[in-house]
Amino acid sequence: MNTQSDKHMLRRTIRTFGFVLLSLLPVLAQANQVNLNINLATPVMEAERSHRAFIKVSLEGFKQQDKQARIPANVAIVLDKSGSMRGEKIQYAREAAIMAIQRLDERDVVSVVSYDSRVQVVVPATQVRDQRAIYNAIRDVRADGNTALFAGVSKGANELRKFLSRNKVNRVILLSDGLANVGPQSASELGELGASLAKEGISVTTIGLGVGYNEDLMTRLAGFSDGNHAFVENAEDLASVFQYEFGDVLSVVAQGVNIEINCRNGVKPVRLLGRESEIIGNRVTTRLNQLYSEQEKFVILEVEVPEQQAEVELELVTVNVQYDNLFTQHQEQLSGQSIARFSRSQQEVRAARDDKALEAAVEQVANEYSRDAIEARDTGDLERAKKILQDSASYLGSQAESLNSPRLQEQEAEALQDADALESEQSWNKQRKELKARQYKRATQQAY
Amino acid sequence: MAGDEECFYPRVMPPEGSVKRRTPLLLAIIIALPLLLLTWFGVRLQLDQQQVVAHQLSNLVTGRLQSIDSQFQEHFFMLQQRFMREADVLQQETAGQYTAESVRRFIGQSAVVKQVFILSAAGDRRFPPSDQPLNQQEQNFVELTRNLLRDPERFTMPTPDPVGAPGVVSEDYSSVNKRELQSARLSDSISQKPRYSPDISIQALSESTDLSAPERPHGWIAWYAETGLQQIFWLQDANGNTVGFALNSARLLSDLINLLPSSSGTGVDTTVVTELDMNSEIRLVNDRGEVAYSWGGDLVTGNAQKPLQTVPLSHPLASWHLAYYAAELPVVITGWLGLIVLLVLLAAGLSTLGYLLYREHSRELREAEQRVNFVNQVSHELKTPLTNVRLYTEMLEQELADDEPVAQRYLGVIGSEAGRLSRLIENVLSFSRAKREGVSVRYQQGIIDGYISQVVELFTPVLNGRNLKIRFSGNASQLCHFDSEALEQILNNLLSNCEKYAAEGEFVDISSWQEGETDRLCSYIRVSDFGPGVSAAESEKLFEPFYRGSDELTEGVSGTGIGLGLARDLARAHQGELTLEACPPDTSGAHFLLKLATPATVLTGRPDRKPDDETEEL
Repeated sequence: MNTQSDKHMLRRTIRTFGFVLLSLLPVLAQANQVNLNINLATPVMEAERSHRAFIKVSLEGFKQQDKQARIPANVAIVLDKSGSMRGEKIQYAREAAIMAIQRLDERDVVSVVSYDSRVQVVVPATQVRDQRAIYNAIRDVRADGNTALFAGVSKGANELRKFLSRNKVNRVILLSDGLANVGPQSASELGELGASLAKEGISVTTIGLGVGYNEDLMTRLAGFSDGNHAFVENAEDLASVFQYEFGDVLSVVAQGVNIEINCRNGVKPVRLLGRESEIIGNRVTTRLNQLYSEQEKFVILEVEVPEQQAEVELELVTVNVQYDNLFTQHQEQLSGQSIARFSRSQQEVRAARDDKALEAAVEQVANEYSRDAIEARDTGDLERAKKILQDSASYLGSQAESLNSPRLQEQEAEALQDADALESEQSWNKQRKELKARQYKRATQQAY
Repeated sequence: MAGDEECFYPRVMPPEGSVKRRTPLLLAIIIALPLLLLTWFGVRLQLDQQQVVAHQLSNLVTGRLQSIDSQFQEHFFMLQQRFMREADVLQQETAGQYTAESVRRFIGQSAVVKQVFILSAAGDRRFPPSDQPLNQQEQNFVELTRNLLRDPERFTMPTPDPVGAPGVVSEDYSSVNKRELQSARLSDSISQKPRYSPDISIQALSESTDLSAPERPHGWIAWYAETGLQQIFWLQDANGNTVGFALNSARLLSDLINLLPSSSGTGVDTTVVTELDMNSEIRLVNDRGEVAYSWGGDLVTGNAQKPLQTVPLSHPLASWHLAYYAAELPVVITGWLGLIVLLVLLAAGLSTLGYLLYREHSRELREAEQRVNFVNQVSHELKTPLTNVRLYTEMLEQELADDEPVAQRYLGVIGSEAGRLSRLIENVLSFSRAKREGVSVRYQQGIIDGYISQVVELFTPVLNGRNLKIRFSGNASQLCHFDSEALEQILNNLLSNCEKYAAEGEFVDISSWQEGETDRLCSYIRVSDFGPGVSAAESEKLFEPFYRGSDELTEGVSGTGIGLGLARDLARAHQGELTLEACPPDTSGAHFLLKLATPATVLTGRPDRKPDDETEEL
């Protein structure tokens, strides 16, 4: 009797466990998948008129289960050692690089390239085993000469290629404090290089130090290869920026993310806010080089919706996402769509509004304004630049009110500040770098 | 001598001083001449060698730069192979249709290609598609290439494949190249990993087509777009379509840079950086004349410097070039250094030798001087007792009665021998004084003939002893100024010579005369003997000190060989001359003519000089 009831008990326990395990399975599977969310800022639209609508397509990297099970990194640190880096700048840069490398271990590959008028491979691509030797080599870097930035990045990328693998995080980290003056030096040429590297799965993070570098070049290079960009005014802050950067590098969970958005039913794409994209007809494609653990990256698509009858449900867009999952080492696909409903009721329209998505969209639109303002300021049209920023501020202000968003309020204040800062001739250089860096961060949702 | 006598003292400086100065000069020349010669030859040799080295270097440099060029060519060839494969794949994948979607996907995946265009056999643009919306890049590309694509004939003329001469590629570079190739292949294979690649078939296809691909027209085109030189590779596929690949020029440069070595600095790439690189810099200069990349040592800094060598790159990188800069030629420096060291060593050696010779020489001079001084002193010591001997002989001669002929004869011999000895000593002293301080002359008033008679009188007994007779005809009886001592010494020497060498001549003729005005009065005295005479060859040497006529003449005859020289010096100091006259043809004997300036009046106002006292002088 006893044994029978025991058996019964055992069976039940096992069954319970089994159920638990079974019910956990999708969760576990889910945990290793990128989350795709498609939010229409205005899911219910007023009928019988055409609209401009914002669609937020966001991707969130899954949580790294285990710190130990991270993706190996293949990093090339490219240090500017031109004459302007002399003194404590190069000292801080060396220490920052060394501290950052301390986070790596023998799974990772690191290389260090330094450049002045020429390029030196300080540490050829090597697995991080003998850290001391790497540190010593880095400590030998002395500042002198010109700035052959292009060649430096080229050689850095070349070091990466020795161990290039789609299963690794391949990244060039470029530090520069000056204008490139040997070799190609235009933002477009560096952008082209960045685009080419991105096709190989290499992204370039650019760190501008001080107020002497070319922020256009640095943001283009980073933008085309989907790396990070940071403006570091004081060399002391280099260490923390390197730490953030390596934190990012070590938390990559997916790479080669291609987003394809197809507009349906007469919906026309207007623009993709934030990122470089390709719009051909009704097809919008863009690309992210990587997704980081638990970081949300999104793009905002602005579309034109033709007028519809009330109570019609319309599929606006379908979204296809392809990415390389670094944990499962498989290429995975996600898809989704965005459906809008049309109604005559203003109340219904307001009630259905997705405040979060709209907030994000407003932020991106304001960011575009900010870019336009810099462009206008560059051409010398101070008044127009100022007006753009003021428009941006009032836009932010009105939206902040209707969305009740303190975040947008902050940005409104920021825009007004920027408008004032435009006038100051001497601090414009620094201001511009700050603005560029901020725009870049907003557009790419950079973590730091 | 008397204080009221008007005197002046012309001096003939002895030649010794100039000899002393001449010796170091001679030695300096001996040292300098070979040095100069060697320097000249050395410098010439060095310059020649420099040229040779420069030539060799330039050859070497040209070779190196060309090897880089051929490396680039190899890179283009590799790209070409790759594009041909990829074009095949594209064609087969789309069944010759080249759908926009697949071409775009290809562009999206290829890191080196910026844009692709496809023209149909008829010259129509198939991609970027003319009947579909284009993206921004494609629009820009179409805009840029409007002119290029308008004449498709461009794509019918194949250009030769870019292949570098394999022999030129140096080992260093080819090793680098191999590595680069490997890494390129690696990245190729990565991008074609089956897991991620949408076309698993690419590899298999490429391998199969590699072997069987028929040679279709293809080529490279370089054209100027707004930003610079753009490279396009085109080929015709089996259906006559032209497929063009426009390279991403930034990426191309990046790849080219990666083919080139990085600079030394940490010594990691020691195998790549050779010794030549350490002292030089090579620059890759693009079509706009900007330095795209440079590598090498740290020695060169100036931009204004002219490159040692430039080599233009081959198509499709035409109008790019490589420039070689070098700080200086290290080989040549060591050459110059060697030459300088050699010269310094030689100079040191020769100087030491010269110094030793000079020391030896001056020691000999000093010793000779000491010897002369010694003789001088001895002569001086002999002079005083001899004077006494002569004085007492004369005194005794006067005291002695005439009836003691033997004693008289003996005394005569003593007197004449003592006189001869004293003349000899006088000669020696005069000679050494002349050597030391030049010959001085003291003018006194007197009559020449009177003094000649005195001398003749003095010599008569001596010459008589040798069976010689003096025949004196005097015609110089005018009162004039002259140095009687000098005259006496000259005559003494001349007559002593007659006594010594012309004993068989029987006679010695002396004649004197005077010529000229009062203040330019010259006196002439001729002394002729009828002995064996002097040959013409000897006539000049006769007056050199220590020279004594031919052997048969001097045999068994005593003499110092300074007499005639001294006589001439004295005559010259006296503004005169002593010469040996050529004797008439059928006679023998030596004829000496003495000419002396004997002014009748003498310029006054000359500082009086204390009479010469030889004892004090010495």
